Amino acid sequence: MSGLEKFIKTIFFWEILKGMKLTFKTMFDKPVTRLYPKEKPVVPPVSRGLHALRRHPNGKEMCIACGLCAAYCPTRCINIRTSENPDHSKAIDVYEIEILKCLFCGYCVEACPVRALTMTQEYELASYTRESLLYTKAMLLANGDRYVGKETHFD
Amino acid sequence: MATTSKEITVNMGPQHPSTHGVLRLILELDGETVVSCAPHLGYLHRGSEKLAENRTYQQIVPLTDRFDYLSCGNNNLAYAIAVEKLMGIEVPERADYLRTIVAELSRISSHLLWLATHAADIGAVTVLLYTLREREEILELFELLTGARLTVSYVNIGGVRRDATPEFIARCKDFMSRFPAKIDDYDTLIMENRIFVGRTKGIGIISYDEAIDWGLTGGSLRGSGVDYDLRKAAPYAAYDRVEFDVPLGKTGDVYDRYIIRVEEMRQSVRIINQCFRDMPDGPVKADIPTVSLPPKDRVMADIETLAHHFVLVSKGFTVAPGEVYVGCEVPKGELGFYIVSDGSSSPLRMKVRSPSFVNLQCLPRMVKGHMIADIVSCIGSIDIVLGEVDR
Amino acid sequence: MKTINVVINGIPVQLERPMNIVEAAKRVGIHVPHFCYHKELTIYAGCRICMVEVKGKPRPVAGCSTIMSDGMEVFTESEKVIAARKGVLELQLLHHPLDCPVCDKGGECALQDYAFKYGAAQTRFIENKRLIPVNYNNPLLERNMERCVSCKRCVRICAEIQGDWVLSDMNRGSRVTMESFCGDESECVHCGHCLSNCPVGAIQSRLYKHVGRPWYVDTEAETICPYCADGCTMTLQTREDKVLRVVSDETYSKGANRGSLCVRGRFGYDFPNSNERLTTPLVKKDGYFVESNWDEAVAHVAKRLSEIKSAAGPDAIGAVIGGRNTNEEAYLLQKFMRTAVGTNNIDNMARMGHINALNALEAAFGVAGSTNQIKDIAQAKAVLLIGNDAATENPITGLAIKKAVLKGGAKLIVADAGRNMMTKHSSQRLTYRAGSEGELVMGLINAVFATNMHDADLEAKNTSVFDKVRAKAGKYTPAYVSEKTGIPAEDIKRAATVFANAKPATIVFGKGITATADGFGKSLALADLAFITGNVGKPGGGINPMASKAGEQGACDVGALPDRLPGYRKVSSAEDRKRLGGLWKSELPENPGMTVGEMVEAAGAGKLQAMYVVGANLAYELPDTKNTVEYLKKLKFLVVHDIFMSETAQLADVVFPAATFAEKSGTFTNSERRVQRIAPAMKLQGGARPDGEIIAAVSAKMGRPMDWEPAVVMEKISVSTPIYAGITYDTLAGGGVQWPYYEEMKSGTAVLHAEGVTGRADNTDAGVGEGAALAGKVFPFVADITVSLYHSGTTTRRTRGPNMVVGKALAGMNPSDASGLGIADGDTVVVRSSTGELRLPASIDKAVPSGVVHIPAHFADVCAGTITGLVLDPAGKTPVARYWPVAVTKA
Repeated sequence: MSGLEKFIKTIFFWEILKGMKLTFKTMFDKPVTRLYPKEKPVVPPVSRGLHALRRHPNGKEMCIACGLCAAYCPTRCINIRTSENPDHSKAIDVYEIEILKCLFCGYCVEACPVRALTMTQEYELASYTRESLLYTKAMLLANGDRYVGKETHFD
Repeated sequence: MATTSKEITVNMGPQHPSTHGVLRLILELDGETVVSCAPHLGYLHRGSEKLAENRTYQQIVPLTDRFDYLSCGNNNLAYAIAVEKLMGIEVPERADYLRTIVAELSRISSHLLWLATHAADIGAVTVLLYTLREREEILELFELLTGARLTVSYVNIGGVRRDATPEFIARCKDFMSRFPAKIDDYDTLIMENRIFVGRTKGIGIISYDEAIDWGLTGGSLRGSGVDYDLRKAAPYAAYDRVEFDVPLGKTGDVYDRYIIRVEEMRQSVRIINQCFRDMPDGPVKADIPTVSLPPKDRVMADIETLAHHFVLVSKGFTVAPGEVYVGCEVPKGELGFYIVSDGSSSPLRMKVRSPSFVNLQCLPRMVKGHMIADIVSCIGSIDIVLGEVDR
Repeated sequence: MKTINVVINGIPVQLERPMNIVEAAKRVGIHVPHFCYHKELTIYAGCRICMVEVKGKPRPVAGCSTIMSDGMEVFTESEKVIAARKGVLELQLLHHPLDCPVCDKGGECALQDYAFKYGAAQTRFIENKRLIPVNYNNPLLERNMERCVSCKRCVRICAEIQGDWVLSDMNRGSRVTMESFCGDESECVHCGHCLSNCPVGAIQSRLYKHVGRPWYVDTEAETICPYCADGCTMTLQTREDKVLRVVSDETYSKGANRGSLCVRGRFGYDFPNSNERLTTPLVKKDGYFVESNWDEAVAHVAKRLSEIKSAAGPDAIGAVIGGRNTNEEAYLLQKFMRTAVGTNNIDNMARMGHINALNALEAAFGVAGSTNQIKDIAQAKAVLLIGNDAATENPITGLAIKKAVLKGGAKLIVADAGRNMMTKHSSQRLTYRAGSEGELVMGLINAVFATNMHDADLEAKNTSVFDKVRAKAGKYTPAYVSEKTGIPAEDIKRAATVFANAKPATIVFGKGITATADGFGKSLALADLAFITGNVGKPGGGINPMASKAGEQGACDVGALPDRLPGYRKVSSAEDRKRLGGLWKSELPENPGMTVGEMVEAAGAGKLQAMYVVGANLAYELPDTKNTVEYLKKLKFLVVHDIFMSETAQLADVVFPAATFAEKSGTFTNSERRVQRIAPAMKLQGGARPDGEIIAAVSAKMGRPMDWEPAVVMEKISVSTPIYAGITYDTLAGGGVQWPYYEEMKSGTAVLHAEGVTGRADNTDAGVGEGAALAGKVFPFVADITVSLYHSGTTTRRTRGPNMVVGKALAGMNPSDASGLGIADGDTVVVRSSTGELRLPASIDKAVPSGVVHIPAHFADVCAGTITGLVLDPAGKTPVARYWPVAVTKA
């Protein structure tokens, strides 16, 4: 760059003008921002959102309460309590996920041997109370019911 | 009238937007000139190293996400490679390429956010609006590939957690074709901008020798002209199979460090494009039944597989006694994992050599004699993430 | 013996005795996988997973059945070995069902672990698996034989350690199952040895079924079983402050029990979580309990006790501590009574019998404790088990006796008036008439002297003692004893011959001796028998009194006795009082206090006005329930600590909710003098507090603050109680110490008097009861009132497991007696005595001797005390209530 060119560029704020040009040009681009929460992003099916417990086609819960999800969970946020049914099968008394502790790493889904636990595209989990963020079995099953027939996160 | 001058002590941070998190600096000032600077750390300490001692090797992967949360893929990779080296595991070739792609995407995403905040700190807020646009695209790519936008936990011991879908590959290739032009746009905005240049050139100079003496790594080291990049010096994943240049600075000032990080993004695009070109088909998890979880459809089909699945999930695999150190080139520098195994399924000790922590030590040296305003550009130029500093 | 030098996986190992490869490898920390091998059992070598390679042998050999010889070189992880294991596992898994996710063994299953470590990644098997229905015949165990690996450890442990031979392998080939023969579980005592030994999930606890996973366990505490005085080490696993289960030591090496447990210990664990637990202090107002708070209740107790003390003197207050309480709590209570209250009216429930044995042993040999240890019994060549059903009252002692018989070939002489489940292992059974125990023992002594089988060397050194015993036994000729006891004279002579000629020979006795008339004299006679046969001071010999409850021995040791200070120092000794008074900074009362029985009688007479009862259920455990309740009601003030609203607590003015063993720390001393620590496995339940803390709070309110933290109290005990000198929580850390403890050797004393015995310490002598035939015309039967294997009282009533097996009281009767009275199994019978009557179903049991009716002493609805009277033995002041004359009629 010659000295003269540099001088001219300096006094005419050339590099600033170049930047302004880019800004001006961008004004005519399609906006990339979304007006959330009015416009929701499209989340891919593999997304690791809120957990869901799935059911068999006959409506029976798939979960067999083996506890492997709780064992694999790095934060130990899954709490399962089980007992024996009169017919000697395994009954789930409590299945809770403390979503506030959850990392959403998806290991629990990997651990489930029967694909009963999955993760869904549900990502709006904010709440005003701590208690409402303890997801019980009923809440997780209900979330599963919303995703019947849809592809969800598997491993 | 006789005047007296007195040095004053000023507290900067931890709740200061330009300290990139919860860094707290105790400054001794003579007027506006920095006499000394002492970083105070620990505001984001979560005891990850201790937590790791109570987790199985596989369960530690999500913990590594939380070190440098801007480039999770790189952290996962560094940790996984350390454990794999300790166990002597080979990962499939496709997994190597996928790991490289994720690592480089993470690098771009990290550098984009660094550029955004660095420029914004100095006053060029416009850049932030452009870089976050591209970063969002990368995060969407991550979500498509791994299911998560930020804390990907994608790289696992023995490979990666899931294979890339054709949709991901197509979208990623498309992005890579568009991205270099965007880098030019950022350059347009600030590279020659007289204010930006004025605030970065000749600021925080670290000489070649000093950079080595301070143990700097990553962009902070190469800004001073030291040609040291672990991807070249000790290649891992697929870095030995791709071509790329290591950009180097000359003077070692803030501007040089800016220049080479921008250039690194271009090199990353090059690497990713080569990876897509060369990536073979095949499995993405090592075929070692005592390490990798078996495929889901086989778990409830035969008892051997079920036993393997059950033990891997409930107890984790054991690692033979020994110790290992592996360093990887993450966006901030050399992230090293030193792992000691006692033969059980969790480490006896895991020490993390985090680049941000080491690079931060150089900050007092950089800012000495400069103005307060220069501290901001110096912090930006060493590119720290407090999650990694404190772990 | 020459040492054997071998090399295992390249590591040189020196063995001092020949052993198999599995054990030798364990020495250098190498685990050789195995299913069927167990160090306590015979070698079966059936699972073939322990294959190892021996240099020079063409094929792998079984590690469990190959004994190492000098120079042997073994590889446990070579390629050949791993290939062999892989093949074995493939065959094992052929028929294994895919139920790991619902199998309770998942995560701690040997098969799973080996399949992971050595097995193939994928099956090659495509045919159907075998289907065997799950067996639910046993109330506590379920057997799922689809999961069985046919290692037969359950079969062997049932036969070889438990000695019950319940299980055997049925069918052949791939259809082999481990079953009770013809489905008959009646011999099963539910000890759970098969459960703890099953390497896979084939045998599972029905209490733990589908409840837990290894990773659900929050706290794991190694503690001591709170039931009988065997003091078994066990591990409590809890989750969210609920007991998940009890696990026993898999290495079969820890504690007095060395890994074994009985049904009470293994399955009686859920009472700490019972919803009947007391949660808050209760104060009685106008006849009703009102919930109170701690400050108020403690202040109220302190105020009332102080009032009564100043009005009627300290001796108007008495205290009793029960068998569930720790040594520290007993120590605190006696210190509280002796300092804050100022009386010696303190007693513990060892008064129900065990105290007689301790007094007798102290009189005979100078130390108030068992001379030997439980595991020593296994070395004996002859065992005289008298007045104690070791298989039900002290099951782990029973196991040691069985081991002596089954492994050592010892002769077991079972002498009992009633049912005794050890009979099937005995070489001789002597069934005497209840009340004639003394004659039998003296008869044995007489027979020993008559045939000169006594220890002549010992006689030369102790001529006077021998002469005295010989003279005393003179009149008990076999003919005389036979007439009194109903045992043929020949049998007595034979028993004496067997016992005297076996070296070493040991004596085990219990409440059948101590809780009868002249229990002290009878115990002393047994000590004489052990002495004259030269068995005292020898491993495998000696004399072992069996306490009933975990805390009895310890409470006596630390001075919860009316006439003894800590360490059995006499209250009458001014010197000891002064020494302790100096430590406690208090003047100690010098008049011996009242025993439990005397306190209740004094309460009835109005002499005793207040009682402080810690963990004892007097209104149930003492005989003559009706009068006892009446007398206790007459008290002006009664304080009770208990974990449940017991019969006694209902009579109280103030009830404090106490902590169970699972929630507190402390120590128990078992029958063999072993002081062992208990550790809390969960937080205090509800509002309960440890008894020690409550006692200290009351004491502080009465002006005498005390430290109650168990570790601190134990330090004080070691100072004030000479026999506990040197015992701290640190010295107990490695699994308990048998007092006396020797600092220089860092060990306790397993065998007392090993240096030799000089004979009786003093000249104490006592009668042995003169065969007062209990049964007469009006009351032709004798009620044998005792505990069953499944229960011990207040706590077991609230446990699920034991109640699933034995849920109600049954009157055990001999078939001939029953048929004579027209009673069939299950008929309700009326058992009537001079004091009351009981109605309960009959159970026809041929193990019960004729003329005896077996009455359990632990069910709420059937209180055995109803049919007995309060008669105190003059020597030990023990209530004489083990046997009681009754009449039985069909209802």
